[in-house]
Amino acid sequence: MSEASLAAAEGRRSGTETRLGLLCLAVLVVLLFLAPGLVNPGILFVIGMTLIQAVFALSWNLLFGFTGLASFGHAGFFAIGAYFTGAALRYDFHLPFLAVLAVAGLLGALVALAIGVVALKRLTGIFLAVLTVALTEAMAKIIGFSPALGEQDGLGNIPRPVIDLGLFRIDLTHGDDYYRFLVVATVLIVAALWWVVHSRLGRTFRAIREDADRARFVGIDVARYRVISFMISGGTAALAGALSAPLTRIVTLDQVNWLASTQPILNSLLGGFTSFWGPIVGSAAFSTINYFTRGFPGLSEIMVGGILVVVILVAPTGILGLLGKLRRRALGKGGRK
Amino acid sequence: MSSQAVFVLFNGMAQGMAFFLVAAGLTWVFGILKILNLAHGAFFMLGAYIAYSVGGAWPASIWTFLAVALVAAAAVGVLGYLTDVLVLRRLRNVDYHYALIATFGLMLFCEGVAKAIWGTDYFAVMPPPEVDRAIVVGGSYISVYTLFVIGTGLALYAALEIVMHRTWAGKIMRAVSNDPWMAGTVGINVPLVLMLSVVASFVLAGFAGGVLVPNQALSPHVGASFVLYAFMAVVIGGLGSIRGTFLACILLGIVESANATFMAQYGGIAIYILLAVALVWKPNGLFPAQGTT
Amino acid sequence: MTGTPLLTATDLRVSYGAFEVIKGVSLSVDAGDALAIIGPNGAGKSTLFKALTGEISCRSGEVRFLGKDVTALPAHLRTAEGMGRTFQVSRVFLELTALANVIVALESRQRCKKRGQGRWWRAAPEPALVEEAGHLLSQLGIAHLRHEVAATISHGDRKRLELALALALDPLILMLDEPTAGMAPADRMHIVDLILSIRAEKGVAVIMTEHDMDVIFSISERVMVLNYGEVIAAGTVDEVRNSQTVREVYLGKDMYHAEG
Repeated sequence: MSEASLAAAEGRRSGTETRLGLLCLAVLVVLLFLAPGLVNPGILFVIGMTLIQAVFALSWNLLFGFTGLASFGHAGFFAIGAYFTGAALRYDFHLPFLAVLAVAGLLGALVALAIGVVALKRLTGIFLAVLTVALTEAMAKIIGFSPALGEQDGLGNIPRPVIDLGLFRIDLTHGDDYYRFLVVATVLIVAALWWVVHSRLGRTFRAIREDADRARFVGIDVARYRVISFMISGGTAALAGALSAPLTRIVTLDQVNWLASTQPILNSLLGGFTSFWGPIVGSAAFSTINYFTRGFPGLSEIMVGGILVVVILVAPTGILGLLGKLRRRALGKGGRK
Repeated sequence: MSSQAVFVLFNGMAQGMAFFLVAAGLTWVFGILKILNLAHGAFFMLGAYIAYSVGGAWPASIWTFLAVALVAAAAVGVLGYLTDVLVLRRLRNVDYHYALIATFGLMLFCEGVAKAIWGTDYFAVMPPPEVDRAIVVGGSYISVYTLFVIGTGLALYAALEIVMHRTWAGKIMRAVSNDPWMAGTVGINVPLVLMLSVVASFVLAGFAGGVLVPNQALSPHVGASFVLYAFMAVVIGGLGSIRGTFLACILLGIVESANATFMAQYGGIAIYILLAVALVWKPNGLFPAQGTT
Repeated sequence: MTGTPLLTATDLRVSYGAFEVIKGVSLSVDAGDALAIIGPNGAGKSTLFKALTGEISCRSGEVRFLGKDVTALPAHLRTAEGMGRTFQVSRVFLELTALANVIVALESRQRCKKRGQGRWWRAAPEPALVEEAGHLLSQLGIAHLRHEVAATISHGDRKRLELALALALDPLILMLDEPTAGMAPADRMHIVDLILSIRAEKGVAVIMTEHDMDVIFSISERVMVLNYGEVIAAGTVDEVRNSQTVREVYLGKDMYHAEG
């Protein structure tokens, strides 16, 4: 595990490797942007959902991989964003779409703050696990009681937005256009999270994950930074939800259950939680597996649950951890020659 | 009004005991392994399905009903043994986050298995004929099956307290729970005790499934809905404390029942407020067990 | 500031449940002083340490630092005020490199001292801090390990890294919990030299618990002997060495073990 995070901890990769990585990333973004012309709408939808899942998983992993806290009800935050955006578009709150997104993220962060205040002294382990699960279930109950939010049937017919920037308008009502907007938004969010993880804030989070007591004795206010991490994580998850509503055009209670909460956990661990990019790799890998196994009752739960257990027991550092091991082995052999 | 109060208290007690039947195994295994088994509710659900498959929807008598519950308990106990060998045993010496995540995955897995075998339709199982009637107490109708659930819950609590505090087995359990290393050095077979505790907790889950199957419609979601109450009870009661969990279950049951009676349009919300209040007021639970963080 | 002791504790009492572990301990340390707390295992040394640093709360009594009451202050704020600490089993941020460890501490110092940072939008640590961290590491003789992950460095070097973490916050007092526990004799003397040079250079006061008498006698002028949570003797090294009570309670048994 230490080996995998070694690179993540200090970024001691060689210059060529960094440049190669950036190049791959650039190619990937360009391909994603061109995807509407390359694949059919069904697959385009899957790619869009993968992007959203990737952001969702990154938000979870900021908490787990970089701060050492596990949330088991992250779907609650996702749903806050999704339902708020769904309602804002459907009932026309007279808010510009970008403001809707911002408010959705803010709502997620505020709910995270509230949970943090309830469990400020004990924002760890089992208490956080039960509180986050309870949040999601309470959310599901409240939505189930609210006719405006579609009760058990979900909130359907969500119109896609038009962004009015005064000088010009960006019309996202067509699926391909919204997809392109989604790619841009994802790139921006990923960049922002990358910055958080690699900035002094991220270093503080990581110090807390490593040893909270030691962190206290270098003067770090552990409780405060845990809450900050939780707020960023909750806000980002809500943002992922907010971006999903215009894509799926319906928001349902299926997004507020245990399975939905497990998805970011699985994607992070599958890809490798010690690396920043792990959750993205995991989301892509899982979407691919899921695409070929869809349509059997219960299979998604068996797959998600089963893969999660196997990953934890067999390869806790995920795909990137395994790749890192292979790479070191290859390099080691090369060096000996 | 007073009959309404009786109704709330009685119903609350019944719900609380139903919660306790599920929470007992959860808190038991936490007390000894220090692992919060998030899959516990899923095994409770499997127990209910097994009872349904073995005993059918119309149990012939209370005795066959109990026998079927015991079969479910035994079957889930075997599953527990397998789970212990395949999963839980490997999680004993790792960061507790992994244990939480792995059991969370296990829960989903079991739900998926239940959907694959029994489908997503709802089933209903009748209470056995002896208790499938109502009596009138203080002007309100009370189901005898509910009395049976309350009785089973109380009996289980009494049995657990006696085993834990009055017997040789309980002493060993407590020794292993307090300091496994020390217990090992004085000649206790710690791995065996841990394995038996895990199996015992699964047996309790399966038994609860068999006894509570007529309590509500049977679906793959029944585990998730019950286990959340059980988690709350365990956290409010003080992790690993049987007495605390028992009292917290009653508290949750009564609050839930009052909520359903007086504010039916917002049913099921009050317990979350209770959870938040309890965690702010007593972050370590009503009866904090020692050595838990 | 003259006349005010750096750190004082007055009638500290700490209990675990009904069991009182520290039964009314008072002490006082002036700037630049060095005080060793000794006593048999279970005498309450570690608990006293935790009470002074804010890891656990006291039932009664008062801790003052620079004349200010810090009894209710949480650990991280005491650290910010200038109380540095190391642990008996050294604790560092295991998955970060030695350099990153110190940078985290230096960045925390900036925050504690409310010093702004230039160019906050840059994710990488400030060059000035990186330089300072490198300087600290070389001062402690572990500059060659700067890019090693802390989990992979040796026990003795980890102790040095932990000292670097404590020093990064410019402490006025260093609280060292068994600074040489589990080290080979030669290594012990290296650490002693290190502590002595830090004291000489920065005028940092030291409170330490320690089992090794040689270490104690080379670092501190004053010794306090704890037994069953009570101070049974305190004074200069020589005074304590000649005290009859101490001989009976402590040196009689443990001294023998420590040297044998």
